[in-house]
Amino acid sequence: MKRQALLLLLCMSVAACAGILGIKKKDQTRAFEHKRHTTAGVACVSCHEDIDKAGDDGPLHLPSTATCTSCHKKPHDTRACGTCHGSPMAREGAVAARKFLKFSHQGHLGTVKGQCVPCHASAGAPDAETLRPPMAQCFTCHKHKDQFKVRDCDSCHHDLPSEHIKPASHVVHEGDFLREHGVRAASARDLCATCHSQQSCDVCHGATTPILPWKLAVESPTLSRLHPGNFMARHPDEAKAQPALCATCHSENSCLGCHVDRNVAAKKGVPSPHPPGWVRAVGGGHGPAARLDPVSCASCHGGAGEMLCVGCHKVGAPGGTPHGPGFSSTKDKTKDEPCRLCHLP
Amino acid sequence: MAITIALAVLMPASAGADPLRLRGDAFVQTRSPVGLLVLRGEDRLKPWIDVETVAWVGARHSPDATGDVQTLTVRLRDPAGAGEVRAGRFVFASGAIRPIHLDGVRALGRAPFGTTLELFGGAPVAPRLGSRMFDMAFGGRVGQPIGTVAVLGVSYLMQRKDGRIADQEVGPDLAVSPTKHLDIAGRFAMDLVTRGLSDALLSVGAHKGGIRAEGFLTHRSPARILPSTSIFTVLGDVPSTTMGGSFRYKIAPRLDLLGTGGAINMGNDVGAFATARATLALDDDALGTLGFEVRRQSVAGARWSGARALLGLPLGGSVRVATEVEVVRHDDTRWWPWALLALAYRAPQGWDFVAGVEAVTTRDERRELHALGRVTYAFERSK
Repeated sequence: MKRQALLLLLCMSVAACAGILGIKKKDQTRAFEHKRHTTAGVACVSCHEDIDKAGDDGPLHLPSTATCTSCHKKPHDTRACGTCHGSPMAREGAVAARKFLKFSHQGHLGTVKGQCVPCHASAGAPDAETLRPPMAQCFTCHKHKDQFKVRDCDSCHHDLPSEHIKPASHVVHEGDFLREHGVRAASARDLCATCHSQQSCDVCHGATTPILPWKLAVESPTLSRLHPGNFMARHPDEAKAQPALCATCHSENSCLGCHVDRNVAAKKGVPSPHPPGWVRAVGGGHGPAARLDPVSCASCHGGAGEMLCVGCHKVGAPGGTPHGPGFSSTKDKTKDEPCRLCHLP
Repeated sequence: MAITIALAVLMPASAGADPLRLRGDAFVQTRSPVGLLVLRGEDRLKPWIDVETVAWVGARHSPDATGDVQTLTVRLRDPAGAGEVRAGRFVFASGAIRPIHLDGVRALGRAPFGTTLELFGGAPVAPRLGSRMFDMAFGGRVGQPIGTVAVLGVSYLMQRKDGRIADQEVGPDLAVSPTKHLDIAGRFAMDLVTRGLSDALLSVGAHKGGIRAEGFLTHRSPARILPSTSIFTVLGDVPSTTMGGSFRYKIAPRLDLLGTGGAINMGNDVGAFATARATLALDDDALGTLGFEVRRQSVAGARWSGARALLGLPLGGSVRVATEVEVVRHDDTRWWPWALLALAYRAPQGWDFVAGVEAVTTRDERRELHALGRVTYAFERSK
């Protein structure tokens, strides 16, 4: 009984929220009844007049109210027919196609022998939101294999970056794409470049990025971000949890500039950020921590700061060898950097 | 220089140029003001050339003013797609090697049977117009599609710092889509200086309809990612390995659920992390959005939980409000609340104005209030 009541409550909640969740559409417009018209014997060109002569530009050949009333002599409403009949998305799709695609109906109708449905198959579906054929439909005749191979999109698309279309194949930007994008871009970067400009990469991976990139789009909080929210407060924890991940974009000593500016680096008059007992003659926390995450050490103690280590760990000094178990190197220890810092005869 | 090059290319074609895009951003925050200039130019009458630049100037605590060029490239390409050459400042990211910000040249050639050859060379970028006289990097990638289901590549990088070898890597990358519902991608970088695997990623994803599930594995060796000239590379190899998965489900036309979680192994320490996110579009066009996210991280002493809520809402006309609230609680009982409120106005003729207030808790638990603002002017001529 209790389970049934809960189930009922759940169903009622979903029903009540159907509008919010997008299950029940508020928009009362509906897809145009193409199928009913064609089965009634109305040819496409009767309503879409002169579409067979339409080139790459010029007006769209969408029917007006006058076209409808030429057959439907007594309309049931005084408003324009397109107010309810025909999805606005289908209309917007046609406008976008005219703006961004190089396409001529005139050039195609002869090849398809005047048949519109093979391309506009969705016209038969009662709930079709767009009548624009998917790109896969073009590929049934135009293989475009060579163009695709060389990323030549210009032969059909006027301006791909402005078109803002989402890729329809395996390159789908959804889910946790920000985390995934690197491994995908690795093998097909020039595919990314068909839509994304160079600055898309530079804004995050650049060595000269001036601010956290998301701050340039604070009005769009849903955009995926690598450093969201109060990242500054928790960045040491984020870095600790993924050793060396930061160094895959930032240089190993990029922390120092900010830390000096913000007085969080050890310097005269500023206490050490490390806990007490960090460095001891025997033991201390710095050795194990350095083995686990040497990039964090290098972020402040890199470059000239390395001499801090050398003072204690050079051959014969009290710090002993810093090499971990099983360490080996092909370098010449008396000539190559960094070996010679400690191994100088 | 950026403006000069951009204008030099764009001006002669101005009569029939399309598209021509120019954009300027001035971003100001009470912490440090920054202004960005973004220029991008293409010309359909000269499809063999395009230019792009992002430059910025800003004020800092010290020195008082600073600035840099983030991107400045001129690209020459064969309109038929046989190849292209990019010169200037750019990020090279391809194959198994890590992205590298470079002042240099990159060339790409494509053979008719699909093989691509990329070569690059130059000097790694030093921030704030610094110079590194004896730093250099060069390398490349060879890629080969296998039918329409796979792309296989091998890449190589050599980097020198002060004239000495700092990094030398080689590795394969692979992307496979055996069916339209399955994709596999991976890259593996081998360090040739201290022999071993420096960085590897592998992901296997399956998707159908509104559902996508993915498993991933990463392996990273910090000692091999550092330049081999660093003293911190001699400590031995303690790599970190992460294994996890993510799941996305479009549970209703306007409601998306996303979950990511995994375990990480570092030396003798094993930790875990998880994120769950729900995003609800408030209208069919997703102009308004409500989101909620929870996170938990428990790795190597970095143990914290966090929750974030966000709302983006059009207020009618061209005005939009956005707000985000985040609360992070560290396991040692420190709290870092954070909030942001922004108001945006899109004016006619390409002007955008954004003003915001950010309330911040710093790591040492100081509470600060910062104002920020952005003015953008975008010019685009399409025909």
